[in-house]
Amino acid sequence: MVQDWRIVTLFIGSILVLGAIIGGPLVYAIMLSFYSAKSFVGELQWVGLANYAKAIQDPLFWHSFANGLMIALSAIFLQVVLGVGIALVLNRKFFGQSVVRAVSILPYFLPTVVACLIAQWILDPNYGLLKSLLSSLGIGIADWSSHAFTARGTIVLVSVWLWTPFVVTCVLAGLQTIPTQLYEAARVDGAGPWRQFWHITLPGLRSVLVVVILLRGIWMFNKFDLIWLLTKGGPLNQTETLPTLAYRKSFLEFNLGGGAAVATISFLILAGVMLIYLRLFPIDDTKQER
Amino acid sequence: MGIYIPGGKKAGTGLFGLTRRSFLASSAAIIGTGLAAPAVRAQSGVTLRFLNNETSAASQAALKNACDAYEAKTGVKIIIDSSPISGSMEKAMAAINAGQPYDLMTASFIATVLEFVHAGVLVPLTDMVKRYDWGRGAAWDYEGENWYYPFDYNLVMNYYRKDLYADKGLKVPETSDQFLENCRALTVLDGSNVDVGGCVVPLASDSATNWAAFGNMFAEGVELFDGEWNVALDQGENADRAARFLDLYAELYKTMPPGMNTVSFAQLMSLFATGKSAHTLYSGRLVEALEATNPELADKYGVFASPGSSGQKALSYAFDGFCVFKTPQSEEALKFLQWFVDEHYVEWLLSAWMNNHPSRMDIYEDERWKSHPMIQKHWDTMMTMKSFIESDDVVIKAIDTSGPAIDIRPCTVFNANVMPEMLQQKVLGNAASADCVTAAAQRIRSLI
Repeated sequence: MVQDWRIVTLFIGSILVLGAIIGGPLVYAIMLSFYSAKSFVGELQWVGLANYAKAIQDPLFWHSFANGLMIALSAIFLQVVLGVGIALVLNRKFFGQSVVRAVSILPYFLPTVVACLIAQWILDPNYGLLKSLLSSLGIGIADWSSHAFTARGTIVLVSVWLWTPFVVTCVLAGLQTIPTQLYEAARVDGAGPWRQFWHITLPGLRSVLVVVILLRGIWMFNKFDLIWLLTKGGPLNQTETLPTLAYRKSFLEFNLGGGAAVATISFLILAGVMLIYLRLFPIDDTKQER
Repeated sequence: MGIYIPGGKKAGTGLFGLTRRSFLASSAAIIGTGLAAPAVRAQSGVTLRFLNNETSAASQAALKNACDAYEAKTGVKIIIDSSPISGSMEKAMAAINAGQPYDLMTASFIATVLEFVHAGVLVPLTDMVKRYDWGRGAAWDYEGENWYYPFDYNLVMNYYRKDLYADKGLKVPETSDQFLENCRALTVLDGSNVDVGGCVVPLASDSATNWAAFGNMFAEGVELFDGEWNVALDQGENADRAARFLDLYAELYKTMPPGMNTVSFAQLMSLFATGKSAHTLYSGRLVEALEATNPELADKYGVFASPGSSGQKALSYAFDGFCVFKTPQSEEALKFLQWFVDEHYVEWLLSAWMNNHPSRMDIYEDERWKSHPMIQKHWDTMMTMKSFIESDDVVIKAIDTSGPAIDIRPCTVFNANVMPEMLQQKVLGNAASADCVTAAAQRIRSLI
């Protein structure tokens, strides 16, 4: 009973702390979205749903939504495909396996700002390493930041570099849980590597992949730091996403109500998509089987 | 009854002759003094908080020296919080909302000052400012008051390489066409790529582009607003002038090294200092950077104002200055600022000897300032800079000071990056100049 009391106390304490550091700002941001505010110290004016109406009528909002979706889906696809592939390789026994496993996760430890600076140093069209390398081969380098495709591609590639190790780690852990007897039985039945992967490995990784894609989806759709550091949403808003748009409105244009409305809509879209996703792909295997 | 001393004796008079009464009285006095000490200290001393955006080591040291001297003289302690310019407004706002407002701040964007004026958190400095003569536009007022004490201009000048001009037999351009020809002549190609740029003019959606990229536009006589605050950018002759500027920018862009879309303040300097561009745009800070990183080049540069097609010259600019917040200590903050501008203003200016281009005209006669070896070395440049702020021949204008008076509306245009995006539409979106101007004007109308 005493133990139950302690658990309840800890639970309530955690809820209070979370409420203060997450719930408070969330409620404040939602509240701001109903007001017109030119700065954090100015008078707030109630405008109801006007900020929402303005946001969804703004072509830049939908353009940013589409950009965010495109960048997130491309990055998640590459991260999962590469992550599963690398995990399968690292799951096999070979000399130096432990060292390679440790090295493969290193990019995940890099702070985003460091990764972005490294990427910029490599890709700088005037002084970059890639420029020097290509110049020595007599090849010119394009200005990656001035074209929509290369700017988006750079964001996707840097995110793949940074977060594929997360997928590798999760999948590697998932692979350890698949009984080896299943593979032995499949081999006896004449199943080749591809059929083993398709009928044993992939179903065995299902729960892990559902969670990984869910987390990566949330993180990529909400990704701000990497995009801001690399392109600031440019060129011509071609890498603008809802988080960067919300930041731009709030902290550059000081349209706090407009920024809060964009952030709130983004939150609602993400929450809706995640609910549908979990409905389609429940994490609990038993629910899936039912 | 005496005091019981463990291991000692029970004494009527106690150890060292203390009675219980005298011991309790002494203890109460000691405790009482201890509890009262903070209040006494609070009455005898004042602590001011200063948010400083000038983050070079020399400027921080100059400010700290001044604050230490003030504390030694008056007992008023000043805590300096040095923070980069980007994000300083958010920091100041957060401090106000947290109930811990700064007492003083250096301000670099007019938008920052006006937002604080609207919020009613600044103290006017009109009397302090009116004591001196100032360069053109430096001591601007808003609602009849001066809200900050200026210390410098950040004029955006065209820097050029005198040695390269001599090699190619070029002259300092009088018109935008001549400037374009000079840029073309100085461009070095590596295959189809620009290896050494004829010029660099920023293109990113940021404050560097807003600040630096529009000298030629102002030289064309473009106005964003008319006298009644109507958007004039796409109206009549203005539209043609703006389109002419965009055509010029598109041609100049072909002479620029790659990466203009991500170029910001630092790269504007580094591309020139490393020989990657024959021209660049910057304030006096570039001279300091050249002396620090490429002293040889510091003897080979020259400056000129941005020319228009008719020969009119113009410079874009920004200001820096000090603000005082309304706090319970505003009086003390004002006293400090008055003392600072009387006693340490020159040292402060010299901490960034070329970037802190004086806006207070008496400084140009101050021997302490004039005798600085670097001011002496670059005297001609400094006098050229002085001539820009004295002569009406050169237009001095900025995106955030456009319009008939100082106002938040052009600041909104600045913060929303409307004008940088107009440039991007032209050179990255390959849109017609007239369409870019129309789109920019419509965006301004939607914002203000």
